[in-house]
Amino acid sequence: MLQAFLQNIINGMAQGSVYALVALGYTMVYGVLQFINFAHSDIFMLGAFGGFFLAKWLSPFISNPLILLMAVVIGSMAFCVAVGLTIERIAYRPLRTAPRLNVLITAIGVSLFLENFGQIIFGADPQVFPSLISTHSLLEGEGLVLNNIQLTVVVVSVLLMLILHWIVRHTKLGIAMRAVSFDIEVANLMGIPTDTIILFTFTIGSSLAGAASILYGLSYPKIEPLLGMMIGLKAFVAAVFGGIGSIMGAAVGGIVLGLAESFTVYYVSSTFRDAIAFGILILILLFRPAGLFGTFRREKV
Amino acid sequence: MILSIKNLSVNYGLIPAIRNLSMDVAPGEIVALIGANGAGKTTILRAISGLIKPAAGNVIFDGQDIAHVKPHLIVRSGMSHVPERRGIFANLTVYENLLMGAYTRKLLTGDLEEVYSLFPRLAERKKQVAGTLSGGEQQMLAISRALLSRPKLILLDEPSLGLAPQITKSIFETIQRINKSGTTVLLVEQNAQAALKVSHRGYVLEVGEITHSDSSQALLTNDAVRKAYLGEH
Repeated sequence: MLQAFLQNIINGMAQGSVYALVALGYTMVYGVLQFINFAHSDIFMLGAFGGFFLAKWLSPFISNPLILLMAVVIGSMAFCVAVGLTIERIAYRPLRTAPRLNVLITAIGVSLFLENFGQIIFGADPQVFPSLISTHSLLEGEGLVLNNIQLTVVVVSVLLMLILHWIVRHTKLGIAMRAVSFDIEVANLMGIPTDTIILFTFTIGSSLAGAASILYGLSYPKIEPLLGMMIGLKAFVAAVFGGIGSIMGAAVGGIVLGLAESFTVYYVSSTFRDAIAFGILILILLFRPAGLFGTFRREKV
Repeated sequence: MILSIKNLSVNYGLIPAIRNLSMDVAPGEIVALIGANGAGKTTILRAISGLIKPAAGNVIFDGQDIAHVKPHLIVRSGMSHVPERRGIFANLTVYENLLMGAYTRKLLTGDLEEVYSLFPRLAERKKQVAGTLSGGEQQMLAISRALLSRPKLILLDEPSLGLAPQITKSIFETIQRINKSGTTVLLVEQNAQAALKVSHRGYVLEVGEITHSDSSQALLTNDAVRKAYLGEH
C-alpha cells in the first residue's frame, strides 16, 4: 500500500515536472501579452526533434553520456529559443495593437502550420528518441522503483524553476517583466523597452519547453510531429489550474496534474489518464475560474 | 522653449479629439492645463509622451521633434509622464516600483535617499507591495518613480484625483518643491483652483481647443474662467 503510494508520487513528480516546465511558457506569455500561445506546444515538439537530430550528430563525438545529455539539452533549448523568437517577431508583434482574438487565432494558425510542417519534414511516423543515458535503478526493494532518469527529470526541472524564480524576483529584467505584465503602457512610460522584455519572456518560455522536450524524450522515447498536442493541452490545463499568468501557479499546477494522473492510473483505470486533466479543467473553471494562485484584476473606476 | 506643441491634431478612430492645438512650456515653469472632464487634457499628455500618435502636428521637446518617437525612447531623452490614476505597479513592492522608475539609469543609493527625504512615508514602506498603499502614498510613489529617470520635464496627469484635500495640498507643495529644484512641470488638472495657484501660466482647454491662455494669476481673476471652472456663478 505505502510502496504503491510512494511509487505514484515518484512517477507523478517526474511526469508533472515536464508539464510544469511547459506550463510556465504558457503562463509567462499570457502574463505579458494576455493571449494563449498555442504554438508553444509545437515549440516543445520541435525541441524534441532538435534534440533527436543533435543527439544523432553529436553521439559519435561525445562519449561521456552526461556531457552529451547536457549538450543536447542546451542545444534544444537554444533551438527552441530561435523558433520562439521568430514566431513572436513575425507572427505576433505585427498584431501588438490588434484585438486579442486576432492574436489568438494567429497562434492557432502558427500551431497548425508547425504541426503540418513537422509532418512534411520529419514524416508522420514516430521516431525513437535516443537513450542518452542508460537507465538504471537507484532505489529498489519493497516494490519501489526510482531510476536515474526520473531523478534527472525532477532535478533538472526543479533547478530550472529555481533559476526562473531568481530571475523573476531579483533581476532588473525579471522585475521589468512583472511590470510589463501588470501594465505594459506604464512600463513604456518608465523607459522600459517593452518589445525587448516580450522577447525575453519568449526566450525563457521557449527554452523551458526545449529542456522539457528532452526530459520527456528520455522518459517516453517516442516522438512524432503531433507530440506537442496532448502535452501542450495538459500543460495548458496545468497553467489554468494554477492561475494563468502566475508563475508559481504553473509550477504547482504541473506537479499536481502529474500526481493526479499517476494516482488515477493506479487507483482507477489507465483509461482515465487523459480524462483527469480535462476533468480538473472543468472543475476549476466552474469553481475557481481564476485558478489556485490567480487573482482577477479589478478595474478601478 | 523646452516643449513646443505646434498645430497638434489627435483622432480617436474617425473622431477628432484634439484640433490644431499649439502650446509652449518654457524651462523652469509650472504650466497648468485645465479643463472639464473629456476636454482632451489626458489625450494631449498621451500624445506628448508618445503613447498615441498624433494625426498631424509637431511635438518639439528639447529641440527635437518627438511626435513619432516611441515612448520608452522619449523617457531617455528626459521626459517623464505620471499617468492618470498614477499607474503604480500594484504587484511590485515600493522599492521595485522605484527601481523601474530608474530603468534607464542605474539606481544609486543617493537617488533613494533623495526620494525618501521627499516622501519619508515611502522609506517606511519600501518592502511593501505597492497595491496596498493608500491613494496619497501611491501618488507619492508615482511622482518619485517618475523623478528617478532624472527628467527635465515632468508631465502630471490629475495628481489630485481621489485624494483628500489635505493630501492634495501636500502633493501640490511637493510639486512646487520639485519645480524649484529645476524640473519643468506640465500639470493637467480638473481641480483648476489648486492647479492655478501653484502654476506660473495656464491653458484652458474646451473640447479639444485652447480657449484661454494667460498667467495663472490672470486666469484666476478672469470672469469667464471663474464661472466655468472655479465654481462661481
